[in-house]
Amino acid sequence: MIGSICDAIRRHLPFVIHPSEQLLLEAVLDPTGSDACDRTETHLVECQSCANRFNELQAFVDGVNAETALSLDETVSTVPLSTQRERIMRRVEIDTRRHSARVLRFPGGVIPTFATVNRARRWFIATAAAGILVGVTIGQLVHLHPEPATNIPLTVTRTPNPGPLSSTVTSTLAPDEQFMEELELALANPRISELAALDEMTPRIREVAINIR
Amino acid sequence: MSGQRAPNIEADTKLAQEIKSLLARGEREAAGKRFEALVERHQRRATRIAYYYLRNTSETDEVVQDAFLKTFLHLPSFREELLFELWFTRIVVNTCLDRLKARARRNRWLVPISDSNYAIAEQHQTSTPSPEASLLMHERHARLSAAIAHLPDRQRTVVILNQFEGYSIREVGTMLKLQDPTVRVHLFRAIRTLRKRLRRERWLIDNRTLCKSKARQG
Repeated sequence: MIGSICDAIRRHLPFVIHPSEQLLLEAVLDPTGSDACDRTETHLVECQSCANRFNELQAFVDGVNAETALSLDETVSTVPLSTQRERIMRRVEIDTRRHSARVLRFPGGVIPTFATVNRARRWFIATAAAGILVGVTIGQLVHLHPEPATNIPLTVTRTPNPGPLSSTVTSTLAPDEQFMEELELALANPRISELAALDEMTPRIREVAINIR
Repeated sequence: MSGQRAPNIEADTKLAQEIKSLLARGEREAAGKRFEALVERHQRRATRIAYYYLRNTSETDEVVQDAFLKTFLHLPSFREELLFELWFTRIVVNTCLDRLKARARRNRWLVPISDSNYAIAEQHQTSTPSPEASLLMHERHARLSAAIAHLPDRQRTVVILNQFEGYSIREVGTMLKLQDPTVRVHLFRAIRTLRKRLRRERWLIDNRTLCKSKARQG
């Protein structure tokens, strides 16, 4: 109730103080604006000095607009719009083609092709490739058909040392165990006298294994 | 926006949607051909807006071309609820602002050219005859455009779109993604700054008296 009375008073009472430049500008630039604009307009009818201020502002804005429009019309008329349109459409067309066609490689320097590579180099590349291919194939074949290791009797032949150790040892033990044994045999009879001291210092594998157990 | 432009706006928006669907179907050539109608309709306006910012005919031409190409490329992302004209104007404005930034970067390495020299250079560029009256008019335009050019980007854009191109405050707000009161504030500040800068311009004073007398007669 009180609010509505206040609004009514505010709407009907003229400005006690003259409207600010901001309000006048608002009335000039956006006349269909707020209540404040209506109040300003009501005030302008009654106050001559404010009406003059308003007219001055309005004239300034109109002057700027008119002058700008004049300068622009002059300039825009010099821009060849048809040429501009043609260019735009050409660019659009280029873009269209770019999307529909394959992308070409950017032309840089001379890109070496297979034909430009010299003959010797070509042979070298071909040989290397063939070698790799053969190697890989054989590797694959060996890998695909591995021979069972347990069925093959391991034969160790020692030719330089005659005697009981140089005889052929055939074992059916597991490969690891056999390998260890072979090491033991080799270490038991060092052939290099300079290494005998080092050999003495080194613990025997078998002994270590027994100690651990 | 005035009532005369409204039907065109709707027609343009429909056409933009058609082109969008053509592009979606992969019919780029057909889309390109339809796009020419849009170019023809908005070319002059785009050139005007670009010239407000750049004050150079060759750069304006380039920017307008760029803006149309961008529009074509981004048409698949055009939303139906937006009016084409507002969407396109936003693209033009953004392209102009980008170009201004690029120009500012470039000018850091160049010897600056004064406004008056710039105006003379412009005059030679347009190759119009140069009698005394024409020269004076060019000077006036140069001062006015310099005053507009000195406004901050937002204020300048709001003045150009609202005052010179006749878009309503709401439309400007839609283009710039701003609230209406914010647009108003920018507009008022811009006009106030322009008044301060152009206070001593004799020709504007004459214009004011002319307008005042007309208003009194009315």
